[in-house]
Amino acid sequence: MNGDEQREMLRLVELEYARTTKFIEGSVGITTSVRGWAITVWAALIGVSFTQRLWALALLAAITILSFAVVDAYQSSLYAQALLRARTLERITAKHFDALARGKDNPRFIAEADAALASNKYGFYSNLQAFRWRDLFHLRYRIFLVAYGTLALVAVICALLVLVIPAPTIPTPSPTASSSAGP
Amino acid sequence: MTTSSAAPGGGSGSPIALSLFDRVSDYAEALETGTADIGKPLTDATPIVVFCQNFFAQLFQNVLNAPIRSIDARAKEQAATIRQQKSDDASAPLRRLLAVFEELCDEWQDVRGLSYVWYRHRALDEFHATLLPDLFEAITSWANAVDHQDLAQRSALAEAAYKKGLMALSARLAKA
Repeated sequence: MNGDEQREMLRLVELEYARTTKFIEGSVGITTSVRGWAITVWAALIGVSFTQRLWALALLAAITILSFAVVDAYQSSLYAQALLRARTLERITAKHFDALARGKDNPRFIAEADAALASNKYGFYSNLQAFRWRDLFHLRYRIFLVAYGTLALVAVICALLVLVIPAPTIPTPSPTASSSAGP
Repeated sequence: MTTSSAAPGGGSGSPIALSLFDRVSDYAEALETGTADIGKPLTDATPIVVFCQNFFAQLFQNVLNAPIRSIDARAKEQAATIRQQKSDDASAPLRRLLAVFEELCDEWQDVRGLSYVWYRHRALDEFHATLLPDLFEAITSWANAVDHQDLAQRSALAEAAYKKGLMALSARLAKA
């Protein structure tokens, strides 16, 4: 590949890198928002289930939190893929950097930089893989599973507590007391 | 970095202890027998880590008289400075060796398992398949250029043993 071709390919890599980092920024914003909403909705449902003595609401909180977990896992899967892609693109530019810095002393760096550039599968969205359910059990999502799982378990325990523990009785004023207080 | 010995070894006048290449043989054997897993980060006890750390510590101390005893960004900067100062044709094999060291400094974090787990596999793969064979070639080439035949011979033998170990590992993985 000649110098012009190499420059143009590197420009395209930089363009893809810019798209990828923009996607990562958006993905981080979405996951932060999803997690914020998950906690808020979960806490609100648990709170109302206790105050209104409605065990079904606590159970709904458990179902809701699991739904948020799936959305979070999906977004995290996209984020992880984007991060991997960004590092792959960084590696291509790093190899080009190595070729410029040390290629004169070790031709392998030039060969590797050319190979990395030529073999790059261009396109961020073309490199995205579909979400698979087994992704949920991948190592990097375990912390989400533990966090969301704990919240779901707490919600189920709350539902049982609301169901089992009797509602506290509020003392009502007796009719005799009110009549004796009259004229 | 822990250096076993920075003194010239083997009584052959070699600036690098020749016994250090035994670590390469140990690692090659571990690859061949399957006791080493190239998918897992390397530790201080991994023979190839001991080799890399000590080889470059001895090279910098005994050949270049430079106080570089680590494999990190600072060491890379110092090595790059030395490489750029040695611009004569006779230093070309040494410059090649220093260029590999600089690459090793870049890869070291990944190789030692300090990067993202899902990215580490690629780095470890490149370290084993590309960087190490190139390192042995560069050592042999430099040793021949400075007329340390014993060192060149040991390096060539270590390279052959390592490649054999790597091939055995690939064959075993392909079978599995």
